[in-house]
Amino acid sequence: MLSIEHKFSDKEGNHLLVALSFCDDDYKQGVLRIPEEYNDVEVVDISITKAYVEKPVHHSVFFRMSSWLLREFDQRENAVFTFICSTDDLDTNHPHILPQDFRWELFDKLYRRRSDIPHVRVKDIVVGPEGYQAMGRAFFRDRHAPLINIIAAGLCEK
Amino acid sequence: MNEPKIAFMEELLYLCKNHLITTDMETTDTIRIPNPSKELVAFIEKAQQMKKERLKMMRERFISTQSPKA
Repeated sequence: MLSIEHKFSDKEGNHLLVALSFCDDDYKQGVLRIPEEYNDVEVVDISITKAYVEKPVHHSVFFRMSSWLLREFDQRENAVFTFICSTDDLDTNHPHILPQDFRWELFDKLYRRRSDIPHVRVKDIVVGPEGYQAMGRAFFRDRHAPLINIIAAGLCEK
Repeated sequence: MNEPKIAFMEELLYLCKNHLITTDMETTDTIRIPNPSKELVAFIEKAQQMKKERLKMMRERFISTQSPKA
């Protein structure tokens, strides 16, 4: 799987690492069951992690990261971006919030902070009962809506 | 119209007729599956595991490029 990685740093020497991973044809057709007609569409998965997990990162780094993601999406006219929320343990100042819920809220707030971009559509999927949920999001343009719906329908049918 | 395109359109019509997909222009929406099948759970767990490995490799690659302090 081809990946593009980028580093965002604060003034304290802490870093946020972001990767855009491009799903290959085997994954698109075999796992996501994307019809051949949409084979040319790039399906790009977003991965975000702190370089040093135990160290905090200044909030301005997250703003720069989300701006970069939006620029990348803007430049790739034939791509859909996906984000699967990690369930890994996370140290925060909000121990009553599950790690995935915290990440999801943060990611959503970063997106909505830049919701002035009109051509981006969003579809979310939440799987599992309350307290045990896995969340995912797709960012796409209008013309890719049928493809997203087909992928979503495929997941619903599993 | 060639055969693969006909098959795809037939599947799309089936999904529309059975309300498994929508064709109206929503801006955002959420699909909720509170009781997922074992197959879907396995799919998600695999995707999560792949992501976890990807993140670990990213961190390790980054740390390996950092020069040690004098």
